[in-house]
Amino acid sequence: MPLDNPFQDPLRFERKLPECAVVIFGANGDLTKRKLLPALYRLAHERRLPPGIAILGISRTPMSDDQFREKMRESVDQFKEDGEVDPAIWDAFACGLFYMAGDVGDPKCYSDLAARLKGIETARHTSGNVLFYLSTQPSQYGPVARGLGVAGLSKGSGWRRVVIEKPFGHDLASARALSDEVHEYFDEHEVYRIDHYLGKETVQNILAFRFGNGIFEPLWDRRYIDNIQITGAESIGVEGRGAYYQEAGALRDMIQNHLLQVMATVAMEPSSTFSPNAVRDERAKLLRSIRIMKPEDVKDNVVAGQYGPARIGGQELPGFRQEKGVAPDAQTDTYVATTFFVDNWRWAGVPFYIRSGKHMPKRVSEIAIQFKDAPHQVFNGTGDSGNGHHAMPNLLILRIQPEEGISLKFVSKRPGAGMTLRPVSMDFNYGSSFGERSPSAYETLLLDAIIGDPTLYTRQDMVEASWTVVEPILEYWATIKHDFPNYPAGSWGPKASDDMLARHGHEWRKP
Amino acid sequence: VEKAVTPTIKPDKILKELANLWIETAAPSENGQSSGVLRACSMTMVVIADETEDTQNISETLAQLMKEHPSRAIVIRLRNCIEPCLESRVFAQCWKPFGSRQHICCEQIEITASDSSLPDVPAVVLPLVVADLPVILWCRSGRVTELEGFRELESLAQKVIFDSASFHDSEKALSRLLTASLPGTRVADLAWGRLTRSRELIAQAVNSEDALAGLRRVDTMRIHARGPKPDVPARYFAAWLSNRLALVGALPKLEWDFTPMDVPTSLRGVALSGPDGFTLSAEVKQSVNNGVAVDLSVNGRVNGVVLLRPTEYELLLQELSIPGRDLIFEAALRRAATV
Repeated sequence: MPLDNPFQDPLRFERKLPECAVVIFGANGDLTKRKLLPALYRLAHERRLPPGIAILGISRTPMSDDQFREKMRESVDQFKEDGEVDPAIWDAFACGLFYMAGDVGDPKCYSDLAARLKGIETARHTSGNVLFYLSTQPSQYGPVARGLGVAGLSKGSGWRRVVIEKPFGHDLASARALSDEVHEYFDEHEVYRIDHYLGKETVQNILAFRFGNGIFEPLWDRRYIDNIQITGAESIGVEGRGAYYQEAGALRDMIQNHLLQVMATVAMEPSSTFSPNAVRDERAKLLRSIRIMKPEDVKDNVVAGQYGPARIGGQELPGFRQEKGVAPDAQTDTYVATTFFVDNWRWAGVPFYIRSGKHMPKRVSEIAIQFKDAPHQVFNGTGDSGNGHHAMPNLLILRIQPEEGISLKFVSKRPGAGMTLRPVSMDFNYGSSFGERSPSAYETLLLDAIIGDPTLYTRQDMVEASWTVVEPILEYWATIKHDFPNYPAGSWGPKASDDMLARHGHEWRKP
Repeated sequence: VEKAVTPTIKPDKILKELANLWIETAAPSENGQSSGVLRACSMTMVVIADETEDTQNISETLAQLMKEHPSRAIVIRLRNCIEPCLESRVFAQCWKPFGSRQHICCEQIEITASDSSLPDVPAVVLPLVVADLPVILWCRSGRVTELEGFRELESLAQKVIFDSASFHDSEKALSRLLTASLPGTRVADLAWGRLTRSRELIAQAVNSEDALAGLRRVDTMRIHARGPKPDVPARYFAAWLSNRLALVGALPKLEWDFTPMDVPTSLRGVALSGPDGFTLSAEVKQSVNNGVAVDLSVNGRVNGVVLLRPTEYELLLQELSIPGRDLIFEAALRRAATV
């Protein structure tokens, strides 16, 4: 059994990152340019990366190390969230940036990689620790894992970890097949499935909010909560990713991973500790408790949508079927709204409404928890709307983006004579309460992967549980033809979605 | 944004001035646009310092801290004179986070008092603390801890941050810190924070199975310090090493090795050794810009490292990041008093 270091002082000592090499497959891609390199630079700027860290980019495009550095500098300049790039810090950071051209389908790529890693290990003292980041087409995850394994790169003198971006399969069977392929060369504890939603500060704050405070958890069940609405809305369309999106759709792209993980975080039971597996066990348990829909349930509890053309602010916006690379009769869901029920003691009968869509009126991700009305309406008929304060139920809003924070809506007496009630909001704003900048989701998650903390990463059993939830929906959709488009770009989705909630006596919140 | 100077101290008046300050700060500009001010506060930070101390330094440190720990700051500046005096002013410290439309502002109250007026100050501070939020007292001067009125001030705080380096006598400093550790009050010492990097170095040096096994058999601990007798940092280090080694069953004999007082750093080095040849030592070689160069040796393998001297802001940040008890420090403090 390893001995504990008696001199450690976690309260005061910085979390030290081990020296390592980060190998990015798909280094010329959008994710690397927009998210990964800006996040790694930001970590370097805050001196949170080990000085000897090496970042090796791989893609097909021939490029020298210097050209790669120059290209990444441009990306960091363009996509860095705040402040200017510090030339001195960039220069030190860029010394650790390397590049090699290679075709991930060619075994030579991996023998070249082995040689390159050996050189980097000598030059940068990375102790054989390697984090492989698969920022490639999902179809290449399996071949890359195999390539690494066959070349003997999945094991080494240091630790080896592989980070996989979503989607983890396109259905349950393919998710299992992918897992089998990866597990042939990497153990589950070495596989980090990234869901950047879980890296967001506000999503992490849900746990702090629920389990760090004594006042909310007693209300957190079917007795006090009427319904929960989770929204992940984007104001943009597919932005040139029409061909990819046509195969994915909102259910696969957003609900199966991000929003079901958020739902699991909101609804899970408290874990006994904050250890990675304890937290993930509870999330997995919740996902397994979501009621699986039968085909007739899908009809009533799921609404698919696809945006059509619209004119917004004088600008003509194309419908999804008019987007580049999209078939004129595409059946892709650019919007989906679902009603889920959780079959456990805590949540029996409480609907969880989840919606996600492209070209919504605004970009917003939030969780709205609507509480039940007071049991007796003393002030009936005295609300602003003239028909009682039913118009404004108590709402707890956990805002994930863009303004991270928490709001509690309740009614209050309007100043002056008479007992007129008015809805008011009590707001907590993350940015202003702490003043300091929140790290981006990728900063948090990259740091966790390097240090070996998988708490915010998705485990295979969670992936399978969420595919089990959405697969009946996909199967039902495969048997029907949607009447698309059914909502104009810039609206809150199809009318059928409002009708779905109306059947339960509810309505969507307009964020 | 400076508001007013009040000739006498009346808490109600200060609170009113603060309220007006916020109204004015948030008022729309001439072009009718709101300046968008957010008021942020996570604690009350009471600072007590000699008036002779550099006010600019204190203000800068507080301004730096505001971003991570926004607070209502109450700075008490003590004038070492006989004539009673008591005066105050209020102002706001604001900054605009990058990319934000709004300013974030924290309020600051400055109270100037003579030593003889200090007993009047706690009653002024009490109504000024922000309700339901922690009160932190940062005492920058060992001298003021002996003044009448300081105890009352101390009792308002949940955490009192001293700097034992500001005391003239190490015995007195440790005994003062121990007596301040009353139930419900947590005590911190910036001198302990200055040792964090040295302690971290030792922890990293034994981060291997071999070294950890060697630690169990350590029978001699030699501390090289400035002296004729050990000062607070040297005592802390000896106490911490003894406490932590006891956890793995090692109870080494402590030996002191003193260096004349004219060297700049009080803790000069440490060496641990065991009968089976295990050795670990860290020795200051020379002073460098903002720190010291140290030779670290584990079983004969030597590495040179530079330990930077932390700034006051970094030391306070360290303390404010520990909301609860710091058991490792508390144990070291208790033991240091007996070393």
